[in-house]
Amino acid sequence: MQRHTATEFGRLVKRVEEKTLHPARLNIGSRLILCFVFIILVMLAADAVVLWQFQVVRAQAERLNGIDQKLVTLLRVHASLLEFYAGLEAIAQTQDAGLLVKEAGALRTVALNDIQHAVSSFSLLPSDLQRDPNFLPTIHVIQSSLTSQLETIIKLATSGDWRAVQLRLSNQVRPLESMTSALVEKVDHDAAEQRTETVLNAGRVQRLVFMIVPTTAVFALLIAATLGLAITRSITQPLARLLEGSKALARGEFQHHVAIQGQDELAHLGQVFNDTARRLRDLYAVLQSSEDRLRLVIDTIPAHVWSAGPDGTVDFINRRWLESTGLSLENGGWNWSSAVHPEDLTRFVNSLHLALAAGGPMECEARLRQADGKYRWFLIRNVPLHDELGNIVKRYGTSVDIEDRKQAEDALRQAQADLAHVNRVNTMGELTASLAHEVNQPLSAIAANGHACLRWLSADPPNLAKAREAAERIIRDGQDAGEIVRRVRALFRRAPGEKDVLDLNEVIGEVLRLLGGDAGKRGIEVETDLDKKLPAVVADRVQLQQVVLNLVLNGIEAMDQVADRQKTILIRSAWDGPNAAVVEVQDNGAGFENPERAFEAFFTTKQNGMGMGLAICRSIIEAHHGRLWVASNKGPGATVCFTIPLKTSGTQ
Amino acid sequence: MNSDEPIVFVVDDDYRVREALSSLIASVGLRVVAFGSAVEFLESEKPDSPACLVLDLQLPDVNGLELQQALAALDGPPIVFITGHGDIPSSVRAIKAGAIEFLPKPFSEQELLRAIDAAIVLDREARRNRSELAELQKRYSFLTPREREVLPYVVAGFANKQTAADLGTSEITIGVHRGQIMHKMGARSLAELVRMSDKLGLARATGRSK
Repeated sequence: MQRHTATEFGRLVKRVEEKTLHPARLNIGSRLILCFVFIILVMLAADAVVLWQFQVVRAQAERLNGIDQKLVTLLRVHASLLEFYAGLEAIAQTQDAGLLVKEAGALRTVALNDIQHAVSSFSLLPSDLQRDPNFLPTIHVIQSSLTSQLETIIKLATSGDWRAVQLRLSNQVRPLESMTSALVEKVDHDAAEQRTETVLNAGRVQRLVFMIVPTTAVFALLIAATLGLAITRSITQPLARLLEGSKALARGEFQHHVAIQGQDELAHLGQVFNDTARRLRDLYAVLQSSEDRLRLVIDTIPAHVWSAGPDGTVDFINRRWLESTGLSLENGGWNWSSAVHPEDLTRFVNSLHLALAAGGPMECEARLRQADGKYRWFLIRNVPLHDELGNIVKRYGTSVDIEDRKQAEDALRQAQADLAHVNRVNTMGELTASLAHEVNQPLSAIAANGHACLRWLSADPPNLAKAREAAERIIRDGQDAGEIVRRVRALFRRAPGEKDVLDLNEVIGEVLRLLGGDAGKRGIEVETDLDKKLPAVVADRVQLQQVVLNLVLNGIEAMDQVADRQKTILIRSAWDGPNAAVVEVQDNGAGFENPERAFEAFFTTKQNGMGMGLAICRSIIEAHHGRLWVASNKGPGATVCFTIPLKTSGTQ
Repeated sequence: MNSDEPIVFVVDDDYRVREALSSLIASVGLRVVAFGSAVEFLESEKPDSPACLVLDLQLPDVNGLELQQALAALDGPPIVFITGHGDIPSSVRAIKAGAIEFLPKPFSEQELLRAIDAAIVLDREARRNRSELAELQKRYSFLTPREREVLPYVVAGFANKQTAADLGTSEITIGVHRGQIMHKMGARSLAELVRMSDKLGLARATGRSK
């Protein structure tokens, strides 16, 4: 039952809301003011009803009061008449005419005053109380007869007829007294009747008041609640729609449209919201197209473009790169370790960490894996983006394909190294050819002489003289050949040509630059440990370079067969006592089985070696007053060392 | 000195090789004359006998190949080259220009001697050819201009009558010329005359009219 009432009430509210007070016809302010005004009016009406009821109650009370007053006035008129007659009788008893004339006027005045007073009081009573039609005529009769009676009495008294006076008094004044008495009785009876009626009225009114006042209050409250609810709903519903719209906007749904009703502030707000959303949508479209354009540029430029967070995590790479690597950011397929060649990874990561730690730019050349699994050389550059406070918020980088350049560089280095090698081989070759020719001549002669000798001996008869000559020539030519070999060795041992003041480390550096590509191509790590404070040496630059080049090439060639460890060449320069520098070239290759044999001419451990290298090196170093020797390593490989006097030692 | 006794010339700037070769060649019974340079060889008096030149490719004054060219014009002896470090282009050039053999040092004695023998045989043949030709040329020089005109007709097998018609003379005159030619050239038969004519490189007549 209660629920039924509640739904009824809800429906009513809704109807009121929809029809009477359709939301948003008015501005919220006006709507609220109207609502409050209405509520106040309702309350005033309720108050008026209450006041009216109180007025009804009070009217009954006043009526009672009026009835009482009427009775009192009548009683006073009755008493004053009685007093008037009593006074007259008393004077009549004295039969003093003078006194009577003297007193009668006063008595008459008092009585008339009282009657006059009663009439005026009666006229003041409410009209419904004046319904007794006999009252006022009776009073007027009394008033007029009183005056005439008194004059008659005075006349009689003056004539001294006291008897007539007394008779008059008892015969004519007494009926007046009875008249008033009858009136009093009637009025009293009326009053009693009216009082009863009034009390009944008051009780009825009181009951009515008890009913009407709460009913009015409840009614006013209900109206106020209904209105309040309606107004609240008319505000909260558009607000909810706006809220939903703003949430959609926050989610990036620029297509969201807020439904608008009426013309109030919320409708205006909704309009503004929709306009804003549309402009945002337009702006977003413009932004999108601008971003598309930018993206197109980024995807099309002939470089790999990427960005990373402040910690170096890559969060964007352009399409060119994605296509060339075949990797993608989405499925977590991108990380540097899968992109960078394993051999370059450590160097690259160090470079990146260094740049991250220093907050500066980074530049690194590394091989990157392509979609086909091959690696190409890239120049990877990266710069940080700072915010107002100087914190790095982003890192932007490019990677440019430098494979061709790198190959050209490698080819150049290879060409240089080859040239150096060819030069060396050529020099050696020429030397060898010349040496071979030199030795070949006496050897040919020896062979020919040998055959001649045999033929002279086997002739018939043997020509011993000719045979002897031939044999003697064999001996002579043999000695010749020996002399040639001695001369060649002397050639290598001859004093160096032009001597310059040289920085030993610089010489080593030049050789290493020449060898850079060759060593890299063979996967050899070249390390240096150079004493930067070494004084200059005095030496033939080319010969010294030849020695270092020879030693390093020997080392590189000795490591050709190494597969189970990183091939490493270490070149160290240091003091050797106060007057000399020592250069050590250490490899971890095959090493020497018999170090001393290494210096024999034509001794080689290499399949295509000539076996002249170390011998010539030693000749050159000894010509410079230094020493050259081979030391075995603790681990695999060998170390070839040479000393060379420093300039300060006074060697020239 | 027997003009048919062969002689071997050795040209090498290295005295040791020169001496050794001289001794080796002498040990097989050949005459040897050695020279230290090409110029020495060119300026020397050479006996008129079959010869062979053992020539070092590298000589201080004139290159061995240049000497070979020079000698080819002078009916020089066949050449056996020896070399300290011979290269293929040089050897090809030498062989193409008629060298008997191209031997890198150190060479085997047998190869050298075989080459020398071959060269001498060749030179002897060449010399005989050359002296025969010289004899024929001497005989040919004795022919009168008219006889030299008739000779091509004779070797081409023309009848005297036709030859006379061509040359505008009588058949009798041509017959006399023919007899003179046969006599002066020392030809015993027409066939021999034809061979001689070929050797001299003379053209045969084709006839003016047929």
